[in-house]
Amino acid sequence: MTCNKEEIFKKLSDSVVNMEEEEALDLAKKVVEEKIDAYEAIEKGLSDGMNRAGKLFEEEEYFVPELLMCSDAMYSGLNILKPHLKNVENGRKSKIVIGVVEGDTHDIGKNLVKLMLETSGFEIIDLGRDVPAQKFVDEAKNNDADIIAISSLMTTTMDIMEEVIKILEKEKVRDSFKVMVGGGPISKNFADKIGADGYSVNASEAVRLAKHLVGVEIADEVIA
Amino acid sequence: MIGSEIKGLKEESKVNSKEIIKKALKREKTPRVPVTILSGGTWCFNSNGISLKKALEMKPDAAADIIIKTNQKVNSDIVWPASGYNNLAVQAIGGKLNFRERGVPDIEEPLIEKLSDIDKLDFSKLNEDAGIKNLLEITKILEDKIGNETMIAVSQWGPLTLAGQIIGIEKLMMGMVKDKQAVKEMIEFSSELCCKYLELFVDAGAEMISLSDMSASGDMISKKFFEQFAIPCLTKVTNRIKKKKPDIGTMTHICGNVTKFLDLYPTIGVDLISLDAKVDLSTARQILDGKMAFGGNMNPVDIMKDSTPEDVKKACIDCIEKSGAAEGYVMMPGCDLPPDAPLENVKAMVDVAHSYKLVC
Repeated sequence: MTCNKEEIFKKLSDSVVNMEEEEALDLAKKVVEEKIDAYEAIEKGLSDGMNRAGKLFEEEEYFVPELLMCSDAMYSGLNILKPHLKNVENGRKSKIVIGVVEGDTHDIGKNLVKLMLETSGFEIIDLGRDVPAQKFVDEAKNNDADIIAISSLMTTTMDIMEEVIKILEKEKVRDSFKVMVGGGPISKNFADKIGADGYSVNASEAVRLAKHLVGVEIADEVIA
Repeated sequence: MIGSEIKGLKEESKVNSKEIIKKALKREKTPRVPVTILSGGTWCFNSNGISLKKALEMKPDAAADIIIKTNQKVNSDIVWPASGYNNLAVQAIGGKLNFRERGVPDIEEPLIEKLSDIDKLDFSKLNEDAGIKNLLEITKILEDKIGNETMIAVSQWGPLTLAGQIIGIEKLMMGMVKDKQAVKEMIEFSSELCCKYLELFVDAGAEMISLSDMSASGDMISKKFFEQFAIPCLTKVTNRIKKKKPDIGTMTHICGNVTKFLDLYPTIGVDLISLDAKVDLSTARQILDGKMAFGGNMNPVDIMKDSTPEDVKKACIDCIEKSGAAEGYVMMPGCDLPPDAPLENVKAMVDVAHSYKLVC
């Protein structure tokens, strides 16, 4: 039975990496049928697969189309397993408010970052795209977030990131939140200039950055 | 020896911006480094305190006048009258645009739900769009007033980017994996839309076209998908426009790190490829030398917007030298100019191109 369980996790993980939505769905159903712990199946199966996909993305084996297909497979399994999660206290998850700045409706980068962060155990409050600077601050306060993650894909809208930081300062809550930024035209230089706490070049690195910003040990890099 | 140098100088003063660009596109020697802003429509109007919506509501004469006056200060070899308005082509087939005080208008929602819904769209009303009509007028005026000495160019999204605007980029991307045929049909449609749009401007007098295909970026798709999906449609559009007007100048701009695509670019058939800051120009020279012209590279934000004119100059000289300080390189920023890039910085870029002594 134990062996069988591990085998299913491995297959679940593989189905995500191999972009096999149907397979992930069938395996998730099997997890439910065999009364295997759903949390473990997500952790060691689906999330593990998504982490591997993220690694392939970083290594430029996979690009956006492949990563999106992997996430589809992951979510198809997740939808089956989620209702079967037992209510276990896992402590408070770190919360991230994420969105694309006002004037910008390119949200593919934000969605990839959200996906990878979610897979890595963060709780995400997604404000969507075209988000006014003030809303980032308000929602971060309302949700008692740890991190504000801001994305912009256009040189014409990236300055709104600085506005978010200015509002945080004005409202004297700058120290309550870490601010991370990313997107096509954004660079480390720009992030430093506007006083952000961090910049990441892609979705995988965003996970490392977020973990670093909330002080989580980064020790789960052993998955081959 | 001295005589020939003086003669050379005299010839230099006779060669105007347009001739320099024409030579550059053919990779011929030019008396100085060719230089252009990359599109810069938003920059041009926003830096004059005018939103793109407002500019479109002005009399075409007045809008053309602002473009001309701005370029008198800048001296870009190419002027792009319809820059910033690419999405009007999407509006003309039923898209709803959001105009902003600053920046470019964006599309509110994808036009169709599924790739197979492409049949529901038609571009027969493209030339009835009031905004496009206005841009065509501006193009005509610019061609009349400065077209003898300046290259008037028009840009539009490349077919992959246009397709992404229509269906939503994520669906397009996933379609490349799971429904290649449907994506190809979708791109067939967007290529046709792209051609029809560009042809209107060629008829209005534009002498150069550019396809800006950010969704074909090396940061987004693999080389395999670039070959499968991007190359065929970019080639198709380029050939169609060249067939219509054989001496038309052609360019493609693709954002992001496209180093892995460089060896494929000459197969597209465009004269010039514009490169992002992420691509090393010496690598580009190595791969493209003798095959096609290339340009770009100055970081539009860190350099063009946030540096001092002195640092812009340094970065530009660095670009010339990395590109081999020879024919075939056109100086331009690595992507569209941010609206608040200082005029002094743009001037500094042009100054370098005008003063740098190419060793021939």
